[in-house]
Amino acid sequence: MHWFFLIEESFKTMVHSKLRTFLTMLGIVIGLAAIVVMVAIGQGVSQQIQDQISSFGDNLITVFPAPPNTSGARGSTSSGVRLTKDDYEVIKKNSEYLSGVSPIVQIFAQLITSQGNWNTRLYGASEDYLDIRKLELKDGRNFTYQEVQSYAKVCIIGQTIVENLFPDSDPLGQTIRVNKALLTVIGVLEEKGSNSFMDQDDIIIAPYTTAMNRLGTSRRNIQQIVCSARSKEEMDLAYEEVRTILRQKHRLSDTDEDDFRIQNQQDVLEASKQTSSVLTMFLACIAGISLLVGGIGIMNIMLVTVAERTKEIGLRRAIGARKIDIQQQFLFDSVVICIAGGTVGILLGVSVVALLKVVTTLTLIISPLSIIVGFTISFATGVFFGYYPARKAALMNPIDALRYE
Amino acid sequence: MDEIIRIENLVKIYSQGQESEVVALQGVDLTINKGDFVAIMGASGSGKSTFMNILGCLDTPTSGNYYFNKEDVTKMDDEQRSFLRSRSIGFVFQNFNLLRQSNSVENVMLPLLYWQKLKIKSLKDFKKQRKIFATKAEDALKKVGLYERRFHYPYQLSGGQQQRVAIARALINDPNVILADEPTGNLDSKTSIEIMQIFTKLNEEGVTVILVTHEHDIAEYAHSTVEFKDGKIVKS
Repeated sequence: MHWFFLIEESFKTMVHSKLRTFLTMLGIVIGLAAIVVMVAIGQGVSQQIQDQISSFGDNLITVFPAPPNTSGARGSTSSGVRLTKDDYEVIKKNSEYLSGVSPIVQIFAQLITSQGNWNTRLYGASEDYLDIRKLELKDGRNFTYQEVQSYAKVCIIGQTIVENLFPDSDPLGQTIRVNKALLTVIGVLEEKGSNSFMDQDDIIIAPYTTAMNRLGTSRRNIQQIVCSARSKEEMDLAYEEVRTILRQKHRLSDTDEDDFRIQNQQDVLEASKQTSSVLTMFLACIAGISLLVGGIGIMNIMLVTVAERTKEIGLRRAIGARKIDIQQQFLFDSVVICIAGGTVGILLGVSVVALLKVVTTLTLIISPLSIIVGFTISFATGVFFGYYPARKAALMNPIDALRYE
Repeated sequence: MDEIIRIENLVKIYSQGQESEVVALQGVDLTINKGDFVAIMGASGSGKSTFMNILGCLDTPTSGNYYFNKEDVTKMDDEQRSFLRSRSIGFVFQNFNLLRQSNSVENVMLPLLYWQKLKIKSLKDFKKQRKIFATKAEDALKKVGLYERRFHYPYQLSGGQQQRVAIARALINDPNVILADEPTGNLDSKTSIEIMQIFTKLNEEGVTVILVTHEHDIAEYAHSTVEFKDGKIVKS
């Protein structure tokens, strides 16, 4: 039978048994809608992670104190090695490919003003920190090199802290008590918004010298040194440069391993991309299971349909249909149902995603690829689960089929 | 007269070699000429149904020869027999066997859809081809006097009307032979007469009609009668 006529025959059958067609489609509809939504969630999450990592700057190089593979035994011998202010200064002084260097000293602190108090993490950093982290000032100014050198009691705060500590007044020029010191607010950061992992506006930055010496506890060590390469292209050069400088500074011989760890932002991004693509795959697999169930439903109903249309099969064979004609017809029915169900499912999935975007703050991404793959899967489901029933129909003995009651 | 069907020493054994072996036909010879009107009679189990199935190329004999239009059917494969059925044989069944989802015209044109090598490349071609088929179907419906009901669905038709649609379907390919298996079995006597008059008319127009029935007054419409008993022809 020519496929134009196949379409007509298939359409007539579907319209004739609307309820059955609908129920058969339902499994595929739900399966594909689930795939579209799940993949949108997975890709949304991965996009969010990558945005966050990128928001730190794609030219970021971070130095940590210990190598990542320190075993217990070696850990004890190298436990004395920490990053110090001198490490920072030597990098700052000797680097050629870096546009900014800042140590980071993190202190958990309680911030107190006349209008409230707030527990958060204070970042002690250098004057380069805002540039390295790509933070913009909304009001006021950054602290200067001189202020860092003079342990100035100044700070820059983010919107969350403004809202909690200075709900009804301009924070600029006011003081915040941090542990034992009074810090004057000289700058307010632009709002960055929160994501599902952390509030990026819950931030207070002070000169690292102040953080190390004036906030009650005296600290000698710094937790990280963050550097920005001059450009993305010079990342590798900058990486090697920082490493060479630190090895010299730490007096490591050629055979010694690094007693610090340098993390390249590109690597972090790559790693997170991998992790999140695994997440997306995982979610897609869960949705795929529902599609599989839908597919089995199709096979089930197709088998019932074949049994129910036995007489029709016998008749068609008698009036000249070949086995292949019968097989094509049933296969076609199943494929049409799957593609129609798939289309409805994709539309449903896209609608659900659109709705979720309105009612939640989730980041959801519908990629054209997931829609193309969705169509392909529904077609494949139709062929795969329609083949056996169609084959069964084709191989029926026409005499038995005609006699079937 | 030209022969259309020649059957020689036809044997059909079911489950051959097993305990449940059944010999349905044991050496049947029959020749039917073009334009004949033959009634096949016999009690149930006499082998007449098996004979009809083989005659209609739906089944193959265990041994013996079957020539349809001088072609050896026993040497044909499934596809070739399908082709023969679609071009040369029209079937009419006791229970009409119309498709519920199709109206009269669509039911009648169904055999045409299985014609191979239709040249359809666009929707326009398809519509054109469908129109040709539908016109043929309407002509066939006119022959059985059911043109007015061409857009009715089977459930909107009486039994007699459904059987007339089925006859139109059997006619659409201009077959050499119409095989009617108890065509009046589900109809009242008045309607049965109408149906038999249609067969008579078709036969007068030159169509070979082979009729299976167990009713003698129906068999009277035929020009000759073949009677089966225990897998053999006992009277012809």
